[in-house]
Amino acid sequence: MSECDVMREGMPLLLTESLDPVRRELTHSHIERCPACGDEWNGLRETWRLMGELPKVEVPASIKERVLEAVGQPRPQVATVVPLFRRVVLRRLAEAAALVVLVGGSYYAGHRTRPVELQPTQATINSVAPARYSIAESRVFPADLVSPTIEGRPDIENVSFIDTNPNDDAIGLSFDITSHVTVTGRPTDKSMVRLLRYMLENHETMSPSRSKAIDWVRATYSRPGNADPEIAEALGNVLRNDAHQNVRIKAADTLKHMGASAASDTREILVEALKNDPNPAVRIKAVEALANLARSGVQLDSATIDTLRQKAVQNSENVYVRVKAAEVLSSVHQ
Amino acid sequence: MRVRLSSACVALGLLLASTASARPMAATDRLSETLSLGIGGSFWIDNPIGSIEIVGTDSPGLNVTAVRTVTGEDQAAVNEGREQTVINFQGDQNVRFIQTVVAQTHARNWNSTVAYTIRVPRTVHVRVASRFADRIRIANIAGNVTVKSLTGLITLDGVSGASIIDITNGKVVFHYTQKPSSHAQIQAVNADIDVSVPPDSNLNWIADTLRGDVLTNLPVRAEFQGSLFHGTVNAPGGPNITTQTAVGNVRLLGNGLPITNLKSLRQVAESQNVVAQQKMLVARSLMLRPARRVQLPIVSGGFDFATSVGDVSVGEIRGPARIQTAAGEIELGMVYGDCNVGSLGGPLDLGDIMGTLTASTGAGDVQVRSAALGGHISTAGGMIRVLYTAGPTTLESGGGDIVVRQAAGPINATTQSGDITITADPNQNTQKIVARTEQGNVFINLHPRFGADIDATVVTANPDLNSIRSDFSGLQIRRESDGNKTRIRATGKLNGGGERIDLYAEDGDIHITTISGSPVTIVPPLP
Amino acid sequence: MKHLSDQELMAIVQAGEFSPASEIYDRYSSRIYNFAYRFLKNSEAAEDATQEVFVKMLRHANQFHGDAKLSTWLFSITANWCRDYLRKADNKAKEAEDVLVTLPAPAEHSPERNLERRENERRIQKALGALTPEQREAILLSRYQGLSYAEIAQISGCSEGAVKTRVFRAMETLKKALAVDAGGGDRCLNAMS
Repeated sequence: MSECDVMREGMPLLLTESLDPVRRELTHSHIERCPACGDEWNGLRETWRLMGELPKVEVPASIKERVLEAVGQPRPQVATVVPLFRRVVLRRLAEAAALVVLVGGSYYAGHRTRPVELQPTQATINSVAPARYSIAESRVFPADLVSPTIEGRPDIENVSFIDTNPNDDAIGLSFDITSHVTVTGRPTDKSMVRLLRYMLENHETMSPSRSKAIDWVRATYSRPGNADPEIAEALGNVLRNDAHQNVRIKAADTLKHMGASAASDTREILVEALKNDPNPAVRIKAVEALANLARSGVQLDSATIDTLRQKAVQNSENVYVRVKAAEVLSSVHQ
Repeated sequence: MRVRLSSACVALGLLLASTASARPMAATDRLSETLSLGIGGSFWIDNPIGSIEIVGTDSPGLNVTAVRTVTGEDQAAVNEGREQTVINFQGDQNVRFIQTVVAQTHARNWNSTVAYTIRVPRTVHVRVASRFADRIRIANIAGNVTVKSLTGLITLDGVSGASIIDITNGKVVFHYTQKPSSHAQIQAVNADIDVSVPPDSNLNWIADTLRGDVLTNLPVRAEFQGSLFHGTVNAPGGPNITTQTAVGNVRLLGNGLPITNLKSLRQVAESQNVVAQQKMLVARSLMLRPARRVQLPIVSGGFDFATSVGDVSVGEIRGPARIQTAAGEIELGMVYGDCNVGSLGGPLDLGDIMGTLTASTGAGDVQVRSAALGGHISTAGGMIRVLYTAGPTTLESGGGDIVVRQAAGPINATTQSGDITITADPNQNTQKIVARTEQGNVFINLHPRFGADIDATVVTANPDLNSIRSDFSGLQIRRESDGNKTRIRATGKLNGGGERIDLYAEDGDIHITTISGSPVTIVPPLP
Repeated sequence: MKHLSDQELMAIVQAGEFSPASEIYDRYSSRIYNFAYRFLKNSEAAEDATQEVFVKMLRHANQFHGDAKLSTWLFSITANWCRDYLRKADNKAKEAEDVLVTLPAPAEHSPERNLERRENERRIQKALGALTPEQREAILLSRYQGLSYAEIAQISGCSEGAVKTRVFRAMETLKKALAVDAGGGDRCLNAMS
């Protein structure tokens, strides 16, 4: 399956905003780069929009009557009398049911005219599973399920008004809202890892959040048992791509402290940093992370060996980096 | 031409192990081949695993003996190993190429090596490529020689043509039986290099080693340029012998001269006060010094130490300290006097410094537990972390965070990229603080009664994202455009005013927050 | 009743009390009916489907597990009913029925706009008819009921991957059938703004 095939298959999910942020970003990037997929996307969007012109059909009121009657509930109050059934077969059944009601109704009449009082019951709940929410999902709520109390003065932006069916009295309000979220769990919970990954890789903000996120990740994920390949990968991406030197220093330092498995997963990025990063502090931490890897017994590949060798003999390189590179190479054996 | 040992003229020697237990099995096959090779030709060999011996003779032609040894967990593994370790002959009388081809991945558990003994006309050019060689020996060759290997002992004996040797781990021994007449270049990482020449040879000697020493028992006129040594042996105008190794010693020996006469050129430079006489930069003069590692629990009195490459770890110095290393870690526990430490590359981990502190590293983190009289701390790239300082302190980083946990004296902190976090001492009612970052955030923590005149500036391309936040009232904030950025400036007095606090952050925030209570930091025990 | 959640209403029904029936019906009947109607293209069948789904739901409430969504369960029952309906040979002939819905003309819409809307409805319904039942089911649940692929998979009794493929193929068919111009240009931009 080509990349275009994969992207196109995911486009309907993009229409419903059901893709996770990483895939969403990848798909949008591909659409921007690929003219054919761009046309396909435009066509799908237009089709999706056009399909919205299929109106909702009004539900015949008679259905409700029949349902309520079938379970012995009082009929709803309706302004107009409409034929109960069109089908002959069910009409006969209705006549029979009406007879039953007439015969039995008189017996129950005295009891049923009083309002129903709910008696406390022991509700049996077989199992409870928590709902899983996306931290940034688009949601549609019926108004009667939303609390009328608005707490905390949240920021509301991008407001738009919706009226899909002018014939009814329902309207819609669509908006973006800032809400404060606290997520608790274990460092190894997938949701926790994904959230931290998103924070680490969010290049657009140089807020305290990202810097503190790396500090916190180092403290948490360098503990034995907490190492996570996704966190290592996110740190590797930061090391490779971030424009801020100190963030790259921290990312390299964190990878160094996360142990051999993290260094193994991000070995290529560490080698790249050792080779190309302009900041000597980053290069030092990269070579120290590779040294940890070699000490743990991992065999180094040819590309790593070549880079280390190049660094060890490079006159213009910081002497400490050269010496460390030579130390790492001394562990190479068959 | 691919020659499978099973189909060539083979004298088969089979070593069998007992079958019932899991003892490994082995098989050895021997191949001999004679091929034409002209006296002006070239010979190349690529043998990733196994030893190689090439000897020049006066006879024409190429004579190869290859011994293939395969060990495996069982007979099937050995058979597979034999199948998948192939010796490949290519070329003609001008260029002959022998290659050992071994499958990189294989289903069964086996290992193979091939040992070559080769006779070639002594005038041919020789090129050897290997990865894990036990031994590579080249003898009696007048043509050019190139050897490249990852590991092994490389011996050149009576090679008079131009030579290039490249090895990562192992040792190189180059023995000239006659005076060198061609250039030789030997480059290694973790390897000692020994070159021996007739004592009356004329040559230019270039030696470079980071952590090793340069030794000779020949008369040499030399000068150091950093770690690089240029010397002339006997008369000028001879060929260049270049010997470079990162971690290892370089020795230039006279044939027949006693080894006990060997002199360390670095020690000679030191004893002749060459370092003091040099007007070179500190870096270069440091590289002249022998590499040494120091680990001491206590030094009574002052401690003055310099080395090219080496780590320094001292528990307690009962006097002033002056320590310089071109590359290495410096770790000090307690210093009872002024402390001047510098590394051109490597981290500094300093404990309690009772005098003025001057600490700098070319690259690496700096950690200081306490600086009683303040000082100057700098790194060209790395984080600076000071737990306590009680005197005027300047902190500079070329890229990295700066943290001062308890500042009881004026602070001047700048970093090119990173966050600056300074917590003022709770006993100080006012003090001067300057914090500047060109790419990051500034966090200043003050107790609620702290008085100061604040001048804080944020320059940002994201005015909605970056701002100045203060727990104190009394600051006026102004915004103005500055090219395609926005300059946000907050000025005002805290608690009626006091010493000046100058803060600057680019593409980040400034936070001035109140802290109550005293900072508590749990530190690891001193070395 | 309006302030109670679906789970709470169902708990009352499971205890033997049918008073929540009206509220549950009001909440979901439009969705169930519209799905059945668009799937079967037959209003009579859609009515029968809706009635039987709710009656079954109320009478067999004990089959509902509180950890699931009520909507998913209702759509499961509906989809099963619709599939059974289609499987019966004599009903296949009715698939070709072309049903037009008569909409009351909104006062603010021009006659031209109303005509355009009717024409669009006819085209879309016809295009939906060109899909396989599985594709139609998937696209109706995704586009018009806003269900996730995981929910659709549960309702349709297949994998999420299969749902993804069905939706993708349905969209491709619909795109061609509705003859959408890929270089929609301004129309596209306006639609998505």
